[in-house]
Amino acid sequence: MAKSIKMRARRKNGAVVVKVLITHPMETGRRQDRESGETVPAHFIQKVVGEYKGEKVFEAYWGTGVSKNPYMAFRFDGGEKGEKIKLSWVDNLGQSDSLEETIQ
Amino acid sequence: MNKNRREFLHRSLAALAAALAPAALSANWPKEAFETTELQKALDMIAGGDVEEGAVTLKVPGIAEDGGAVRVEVETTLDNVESISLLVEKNPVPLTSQFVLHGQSHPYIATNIKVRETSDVIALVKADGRYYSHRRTVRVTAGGCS
Repeated sequence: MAKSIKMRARRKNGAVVVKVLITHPMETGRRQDRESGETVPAHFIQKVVGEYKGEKVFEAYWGTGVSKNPYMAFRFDGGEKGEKIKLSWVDNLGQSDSLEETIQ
Repeated sequence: MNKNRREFLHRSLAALAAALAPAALSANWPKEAFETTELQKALDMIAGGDVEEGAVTLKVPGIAEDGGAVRVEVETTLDNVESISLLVEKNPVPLTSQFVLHGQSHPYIATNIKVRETSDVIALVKADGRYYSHRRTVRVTAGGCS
């Protein structure tokens, strides 16, 4: 799942605004494949963590109700331009990915 | 059951659970709340009782053409916000997501959720150990494969 994450972190009004897009099918386990008619197994992100200087600033637990190719945004205090923020996710099949991005 | 045996069992079970956990990252995933098919049950599991209306702002589109991706934003003026949960009353699984905030986090989140049919969307905020909510209706004009 290389390069599944796109992230933009910008310092604005004393806080850092982080916007994230993840490429992921977010299958509910209830959808039927149109051609085979078989049920597509559930495959969805269960946890997303945002870290700044090794500390969690954001944590999300997801079920199957989050959209395919999830989008999310969050804000936190204290980040400076040029510093790094790290984002990682793990899904119900144990697949995962992470990305470090510079705060702009 | 004597005390030693109970302690031994307790420890063995804890070790077993740790060994079976698929990945450390998802260890705290609230499985039951994410499998409940009834809104009220999910709310009870999370809040376990009283929920006050107000102090929370949930922004949703009044009409969504694509129920597969509905943008929602939650903001609150409450202090010491611990978590924000997003639920959709008529989805097969009402609880879509739960966001845990930390000291530096602002009490704000935005995300895209599935809203299968016209339904109420509920933002549930935990602050200082108490629960607050805001409920808005989203009209869905085309299905969202939830």
